[in-house]
Amino acid sequence: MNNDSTALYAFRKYGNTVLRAAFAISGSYAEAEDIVQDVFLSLHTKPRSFNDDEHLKAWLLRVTINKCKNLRRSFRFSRTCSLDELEYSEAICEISTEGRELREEISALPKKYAEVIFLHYYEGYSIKEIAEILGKNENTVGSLLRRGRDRLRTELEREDEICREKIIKTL
Amino acid sequence: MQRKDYQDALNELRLGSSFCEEMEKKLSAERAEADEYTDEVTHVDVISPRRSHKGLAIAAAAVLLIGGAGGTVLYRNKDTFLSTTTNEDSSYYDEKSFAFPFGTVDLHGLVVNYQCDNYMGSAPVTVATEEMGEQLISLFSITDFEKLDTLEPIVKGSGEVMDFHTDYFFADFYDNGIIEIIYIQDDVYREYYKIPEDTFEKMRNIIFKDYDLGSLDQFGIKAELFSAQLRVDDYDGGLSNTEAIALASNINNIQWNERDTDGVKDSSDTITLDFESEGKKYGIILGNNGMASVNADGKMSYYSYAAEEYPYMRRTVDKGVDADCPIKYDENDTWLAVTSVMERRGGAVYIEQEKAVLLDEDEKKEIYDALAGFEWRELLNSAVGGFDIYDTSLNFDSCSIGFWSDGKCMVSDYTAERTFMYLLKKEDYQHIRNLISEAASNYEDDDKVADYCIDHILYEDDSDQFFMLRDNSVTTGLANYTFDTGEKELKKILLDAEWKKDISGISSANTMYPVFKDLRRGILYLTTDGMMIIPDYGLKYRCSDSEKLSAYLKEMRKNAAETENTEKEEKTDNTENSEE
Repeated sequence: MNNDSTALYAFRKYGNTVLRAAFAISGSYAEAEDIVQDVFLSLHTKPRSFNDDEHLKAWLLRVTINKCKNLRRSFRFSRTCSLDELEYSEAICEISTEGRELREEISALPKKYAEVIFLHYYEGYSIKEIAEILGKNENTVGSLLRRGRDRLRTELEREDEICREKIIKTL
Repeated sequence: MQRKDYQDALNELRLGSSFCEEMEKKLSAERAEADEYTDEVTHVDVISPRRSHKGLAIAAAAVLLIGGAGGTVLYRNKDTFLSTTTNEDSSYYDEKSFAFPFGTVDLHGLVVNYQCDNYMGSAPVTVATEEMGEQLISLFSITDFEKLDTLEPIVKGSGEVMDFHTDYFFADFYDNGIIEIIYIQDDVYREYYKIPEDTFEKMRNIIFKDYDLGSLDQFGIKAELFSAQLRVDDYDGGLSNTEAIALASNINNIQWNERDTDGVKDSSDTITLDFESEGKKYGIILGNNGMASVNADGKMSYYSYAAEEYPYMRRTVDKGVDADCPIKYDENDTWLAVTSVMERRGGAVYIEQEKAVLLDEDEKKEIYDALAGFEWRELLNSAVGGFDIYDTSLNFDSCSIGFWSDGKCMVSDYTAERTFMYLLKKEDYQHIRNLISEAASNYEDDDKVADYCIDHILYEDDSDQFFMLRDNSVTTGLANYTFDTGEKELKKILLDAEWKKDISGISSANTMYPVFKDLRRGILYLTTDGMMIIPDYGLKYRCSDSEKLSAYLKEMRKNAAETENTEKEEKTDNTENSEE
């Protein structure tokens, strides 16, 4: 790790990781981008040392989650944003319909589930590791993981595309 | 959904090139330059919810950075951060900050977030002005902050919450007057305080006064809904603050189209609000068919709106309908009761701890009599509010019931696909919780509870089949291994073992095997060092002699690896065949 510019190194290596974590939890690309900025500027202004890349990554995710906690989490807002921002954003390299639909479901997940789902299914952290990162009981993490997964599956399996289109149009 | 789908959906997200370029410039700059934003934050600003708020978000971050630069190091290390403050510029604090018992906070420029009913963002994140800071200092100066030694799960059912953070702690203020302080150091430390409930309301009204929370501004009417009368189903009574805020926000943000005739009379479900403002009487009826009528002091007007909005409003004021107690008493049924408590482990470290008990006949009867005597109201939808999962549960052979501290409870039938939500009075929840806590307090037969859980999850049937979740590696999906035989042998090993409750952590050196028969009944997480974790009940056990279990688990791992290899080979064969 380059100790002289930890923040820059961290941004280059984990910028997209932080973006995806922030999006998965906040449900909004605009907010996710703000959080990316906030996280790395904080590290730049107040540098700290890390044992290795994993330590750095865990710290970045912890800070990202904390910052997401302070953002409002509106169901209506997240749905609007997922269309307004994601469809036309340069942030997406490849646009797939399936990916878009999934991101909408991800953005609509309640924050308490979104955190553990992201850390487990995207980052591959174990329940114990997630419990350490979030400062929660392992049992609680296990329950949240199961309920979040069920919730996501239920949302995905819901066959109300027409209804959803109508809702989106009225927003 | 497979893990890969989830990953793919997020992997398509990338930071924009111009954003990266800008960030690289900032991060390559000298550190002093990063503080250039600080001078901008000397006035009131509200972070708007759209992209335009980016600059202000930086400003908000800078407010926090000022703290670090200006000598606001409240706590320097674990030994001192709970009790002392270091203040290098006392005059600065005298004017702008308040010394809470949990730390001194600069209130001018404080970034405060507000949530109502979990999702409903009725007000944007707000940066406190100098005037607000002064009002808050006046308010807190006369507030009694009572430190709580023990915490009942009263936090969890709260409807509104305001939170802010410093570089050293997170502070969550709940509308029931509870304050949760979380310090993140080498470990997570929590402290709990209690303030009067009206202090929360005053605090909210100071910081978010510009947003007229709970105020209706629609149909040419401007009025608070806090004292409105609500009629839904057979309920006729007042609105709670949370309901008034959420409903006002909903109505204010919907697009209403005026029409000539009354369409609400054709609705099969309605929400009716009656309220007064400045001597005038108002009545609003919202129909589930997208129609509404408004009576403004005798003058009627009619509107239409997107009917899809109705369920959101209805959920906000879902008072439920009268229902029978969903639990039937069966003396042959085994009742496992679990309740969680925040246990203090020295200093400010709290640990959430589950206590389980297999109820005896007298306890079952007493609890059943209590349940049967409650006023049950079945909620119309399955949405679960509150800030956490339920903290108390009763688990029967065929179903379970989870209790939230706000009175909500969820009945899950293991044989059915859906769950049913009910609403109880808060005092009824407290009564059940007390009965279970009392029964669990002296119960020590851990092995019996563990055996019940094993027997429940690996339930008796003709099949010897069971499943195991694949490991946590990123490359595998949310898939299972299927074992056509071995369930009965595994169950016998588990039942033969002697289990003791264990609250120690799980060593990452050990492999974990999540086994189950039907996901609705839960999963047993087994480790080679003799741990058994049952997340559904929040229980962890360790067996004294794990040799046999360990040998069996290793055999399972071997079989699982062979299964995976076979699947890979089959996949490769299929790919090759398709290429041909």
